[in-house]
Amino acid sequence: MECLIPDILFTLLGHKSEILQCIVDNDSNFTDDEYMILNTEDKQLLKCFLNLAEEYQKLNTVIVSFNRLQSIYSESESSKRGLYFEAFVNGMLIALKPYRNCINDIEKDLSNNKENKCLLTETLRKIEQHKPLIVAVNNILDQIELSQLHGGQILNLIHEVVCMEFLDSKNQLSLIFNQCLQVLISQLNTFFARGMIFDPHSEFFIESKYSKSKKEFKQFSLIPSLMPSFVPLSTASKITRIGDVIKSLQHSNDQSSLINYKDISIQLYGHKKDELFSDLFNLVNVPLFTKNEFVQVIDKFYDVVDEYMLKASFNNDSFGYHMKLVRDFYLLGNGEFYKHFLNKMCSLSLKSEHSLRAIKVAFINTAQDIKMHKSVNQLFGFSSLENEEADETTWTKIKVTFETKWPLQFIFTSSVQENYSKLFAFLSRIKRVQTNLHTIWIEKKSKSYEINAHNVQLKTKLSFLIDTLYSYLQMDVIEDEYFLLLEKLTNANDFQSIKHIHDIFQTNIMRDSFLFMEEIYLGFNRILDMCENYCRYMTDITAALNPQYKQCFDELHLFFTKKPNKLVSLINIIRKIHVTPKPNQFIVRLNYNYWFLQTISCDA
Amino acid sequence: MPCEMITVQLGQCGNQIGFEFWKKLCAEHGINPEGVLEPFATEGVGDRKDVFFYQADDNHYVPRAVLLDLEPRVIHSIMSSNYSKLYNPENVYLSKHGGGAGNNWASGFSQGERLQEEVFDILDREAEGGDSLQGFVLCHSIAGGTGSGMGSFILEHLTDRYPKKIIETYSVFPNQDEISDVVVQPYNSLLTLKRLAQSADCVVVLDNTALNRIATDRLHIENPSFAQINSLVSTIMSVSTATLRYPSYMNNDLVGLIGPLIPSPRLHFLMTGYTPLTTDHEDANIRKTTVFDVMRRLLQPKNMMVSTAQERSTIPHCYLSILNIIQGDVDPTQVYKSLQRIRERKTVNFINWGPSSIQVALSKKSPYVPTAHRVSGLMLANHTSISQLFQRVLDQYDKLRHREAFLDQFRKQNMFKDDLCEMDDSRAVVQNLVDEYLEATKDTYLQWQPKNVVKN
Repeated sequence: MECLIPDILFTLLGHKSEILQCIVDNDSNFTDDEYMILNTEDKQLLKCFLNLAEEYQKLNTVIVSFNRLQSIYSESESSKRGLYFEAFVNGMLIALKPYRNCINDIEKDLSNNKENKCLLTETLRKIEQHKPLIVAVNNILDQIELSQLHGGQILNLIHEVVCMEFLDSKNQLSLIFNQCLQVLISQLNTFFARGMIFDPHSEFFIESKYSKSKKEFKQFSLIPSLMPSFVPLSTASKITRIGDVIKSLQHSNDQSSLINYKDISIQLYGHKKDELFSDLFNLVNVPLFTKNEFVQVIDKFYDVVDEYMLKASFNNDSFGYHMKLVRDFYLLGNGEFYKHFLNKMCSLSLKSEHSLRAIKVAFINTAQDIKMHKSVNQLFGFSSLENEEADETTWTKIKVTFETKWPLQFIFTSSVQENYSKLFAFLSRIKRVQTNLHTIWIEKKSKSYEINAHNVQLKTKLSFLIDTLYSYLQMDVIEDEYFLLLEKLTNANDFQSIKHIHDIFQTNIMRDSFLFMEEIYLGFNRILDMCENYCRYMTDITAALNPQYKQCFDELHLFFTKKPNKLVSLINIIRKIHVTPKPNQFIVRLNYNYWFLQTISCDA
Repeated sequence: MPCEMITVQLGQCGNQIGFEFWKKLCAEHGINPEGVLEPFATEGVGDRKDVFFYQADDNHYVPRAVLLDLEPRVIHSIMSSNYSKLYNPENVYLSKHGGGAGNNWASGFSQGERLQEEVFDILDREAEGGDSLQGFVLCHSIAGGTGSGMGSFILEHLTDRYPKKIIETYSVFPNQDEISDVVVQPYNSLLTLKRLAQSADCVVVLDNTALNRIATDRLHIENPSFAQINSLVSTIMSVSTATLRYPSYMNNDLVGLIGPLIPSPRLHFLMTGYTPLTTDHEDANIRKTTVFDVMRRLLQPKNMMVSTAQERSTIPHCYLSILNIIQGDVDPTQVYKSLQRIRERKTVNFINWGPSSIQVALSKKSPYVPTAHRVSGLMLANHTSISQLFQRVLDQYDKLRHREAFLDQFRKQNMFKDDLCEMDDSRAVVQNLVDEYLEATKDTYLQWQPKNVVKN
């Protein structure tokens, strides 16, 4: 029996031994007297060896074949297996080293001490210590093959197995895991340093997205199926956000080239760079790696990035300056500018089309007229909300864009600018009508003795309505919220909270400006259209002869006399709003001397 | 492209308050008496100097001001002050005659007629100099001869010449508490009032009676000097133009400012109130001021700069409109709350024939002029009780006219050579104005029609 030991050891190292198989199988073709003397117990023993050898063989085949890739797998097949599988194979090799050492030791013992009898049972005992590991690894391999696991999924599987194993094999399995983790870490390393994804086999849980506009820096997105369970969604989002920040920073450093993978880690992480990256690499050495360690490392990166963005946001009061641009130009805070600008525009009614080029020209001319600094008007652009390529737009569909300084594009994103554009369109329409009504005041003032009181009163009441609406929006809504925003900003100590404070600001002013309430928003727009027609009727002789304008004029008259009408129903809807207290301030301003509601609520 | 305003200052009083106004504007914009920007003001604070000034070729600032008088005293004192280099000398017009108008409206009016070509040469040149002229601001007194008489002439003709420009006046009404040495003051006032009613778009009434009472009662100055009264006036003038000079999101042009204050075109006489009032020696006594304090105090009659007796009147006088210009360190969230509290107290009477409310404009303050108070405010109000002032003019006129007193001086002038129709006519216009203000206190105002409407 002992003479079989070299064969056994040979088999255990992953090589096939037909003799041993024949013995176990009682194959008569290879019967030899010597071998026949094996008793059933020995046979049983031999079976155990062969079982183990078989398990190891499966792994060994993979290891060997992987080291001779070209010869066994075709190119396309190897690319399917990927970096993580390769790391897994390397990990196996490392993890199974004690097993191979063990066999080698036995072999050495055998050759050194020829006289000493080596007991098979003793050998089996030594070797079977490694059996759980080999079985576990085989299970992993089976699952990988069976479920066609790939990339991050392999990492995830191994992590789960490592977490579940209670046995001594845990340490050895960790070695395999670490190999795979190293792949992830080096991917994160290039990602955090250069914003680049090194992922030839599509195994990383982040992919770069094709973006249409260069200015948009939402470049990376997650692939949930490749996300290991130790990467929580929040952490994964942080990783992509860091990537977005890096790309935007590279772009702001060098706008000339579209593809830019410059290492900006010193700029971004400063003196903390070495510490951050060594923490990242050290994840491999964490004895009992868990989610917590990973999350902590990513959080550290994230905090440093956030801090850098925060500093950049407040550098030269950058955020304050951008908010002032928003206040002045989207929200018409620069009243003087818009008085002149709107004078240059033709009708802003719902249906009138405007050439975007003409709008831009009017904008630049106005800036020159009021001697505004050139740098300001170059920041703004005009397009259509509906179609980026369009040359024309109606006023309510106008999109006003402005260029931001890094990193504020993360606050003033494209959708944020779209929202501001909607506010801009609404406010500028009101201001335009207000200015038109003022023009009538001037046009008609010298004739005031001839006009019948009815006309004067209609103009007065319309002016009151529009003035009150505009005061409400500018003072009660925008100025109030702007004041609160500035107040909250003094307590903001990370970039995300600035973004949050800003987003709340925008949501609140949109809500209180009726932009979320379609019925009211449209109602006001219709009334503004009517006011525009009224102004034309009053100032333009040809319009005065047009029955359409006359009809509009008559309808407006009814606003303050006969019920029901568009204004009355609009006000009644506003009065019923309870989700936010602000609209009531509009009603109180309108009804300050108790005339308005009384007039519109009593029946004619 | 600002919205320029041209200031026309007429007569002794007009030139004096005009002088104070320009001193104040220079201080607020950091312009020195010679028109040169002070070194600390070169950066600018988002202020619009070009509403009231223009820049000469050497970049120094020149007021868009026209100084007119028929006698040299006040203009000479201005031109010998350290501000003499500020003004464009071509815009300073002194009648060669130099004898003044003798406190006679008719004399002032006819001299205006005689000098119109030279005067309008200056005004037209100044008007053409602006890119987008908004209007004219006339500073004058209604009681004397030049400001009232020549002022009336210029007012009538400005309106004809510039029908699409706003004509605003700061008109000083005489002090009723002291016996005037101008015996024909009631005639002068009545005749001027007709022009203010018919030709001006907006009249800011500066009532010397109230200003003197405020100086003595509120500022504890026993015998207020002209300078002290004029400092009050210049404060009113500068704050009422603050939103034009420090443009922000609203009220950036004159029409936007005064349009809403005048819901009915003839009722365009505004009274003012200012708080907190302090003199230099009172600065130590600083009260805590909030938006609500300021808005509440502005509604108190004792802060009004027009002497009306609202409390004693049996007529339910009321506001047609109110605009509060609030300056200083203001928390905007307090504005609406203050409006609401004032409304809940129900102490403010408004018209009930149309919508009306308290409009609030928040305005920046000059950083170059230190103030002791955190918040200050000016109220521009259209209140029916202002008719009491006009009624007083009517009463005094009637007394004098009944006695046929001092009419000879008027009969000497062409306008009154044949008859006194002009006086009767003016009386009818002012009576209509008083009647209309009284009608405006009633619900039925919109049905009311003026008697014998006088066409302009």
